Amino acid sequence: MTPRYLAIVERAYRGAVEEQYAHIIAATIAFCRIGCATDLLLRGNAVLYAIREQPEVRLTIGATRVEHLPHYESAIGALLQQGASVHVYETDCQRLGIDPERLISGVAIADLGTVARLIDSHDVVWHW
Amino acid sequence: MPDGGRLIFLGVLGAPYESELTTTLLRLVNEAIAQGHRVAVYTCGGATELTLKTLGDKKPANFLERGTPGQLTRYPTTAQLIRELLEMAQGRLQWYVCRPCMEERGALSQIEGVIKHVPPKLRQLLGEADVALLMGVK
Repeated sequence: MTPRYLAIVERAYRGAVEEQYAHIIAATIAFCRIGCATDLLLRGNAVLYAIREQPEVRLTIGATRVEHLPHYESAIGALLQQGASVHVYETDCQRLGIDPERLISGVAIADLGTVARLIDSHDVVWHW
Repeated sequence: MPDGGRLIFLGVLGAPYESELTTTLLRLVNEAIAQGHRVAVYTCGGATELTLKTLGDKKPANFLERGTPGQLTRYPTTAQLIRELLEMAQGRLQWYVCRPCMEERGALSQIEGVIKHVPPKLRQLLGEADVALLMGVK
């Protein structure tokens, strides 16, 4: 049976200019594409990645227009299309005042019991 | 450094990939230069790796673009962005790299235009600047 992976992402916003396309959600999509079925659990400030209607930010530095800074909403949409499940930790949503209706369609809220079940039901768990 | 504007000193102690420090730094430098100020940046610790020559001018190809039609997107590196800031500033930006921090990390190959210096320079720049900001923690 093919193992199933769970990526828990807790540390958010780690270098927009450094990462650009190569952020952790994109890496999770890449894992799915190469056959490592990976689900996602967002905790800490990373639950903000799952909010709808995020602006697509661009920067001009010197003569360069940096067009492709991370846009987590579209990345999570692409991950959902890969068949992955995406959860956000309920307590962090409450702490940050995120109402469920503000979440991207398809993202589920996980209480502590669900977090435990997610960890138990996956063969490999990564914590980023 | 040419005259004009205020001298803004930014001491950068935080490493890349840990927070949005680098993005904030580059935005500050870009805006200060655009407004006619002079800027001195002194990077310590992991920040000395922002200007590694070996980063090249573009990041590695995006794996997720493979198999899609059209040219691959070009993603600039921090080294390339800082090189462009140095060109844009026409002498109004000095980018210092802490020599011991650089050597400790093996970050010896630095882009043209940055100045390798020893830590007392940081104190000197603090004294000379009209505005000083130390950013990040080591």
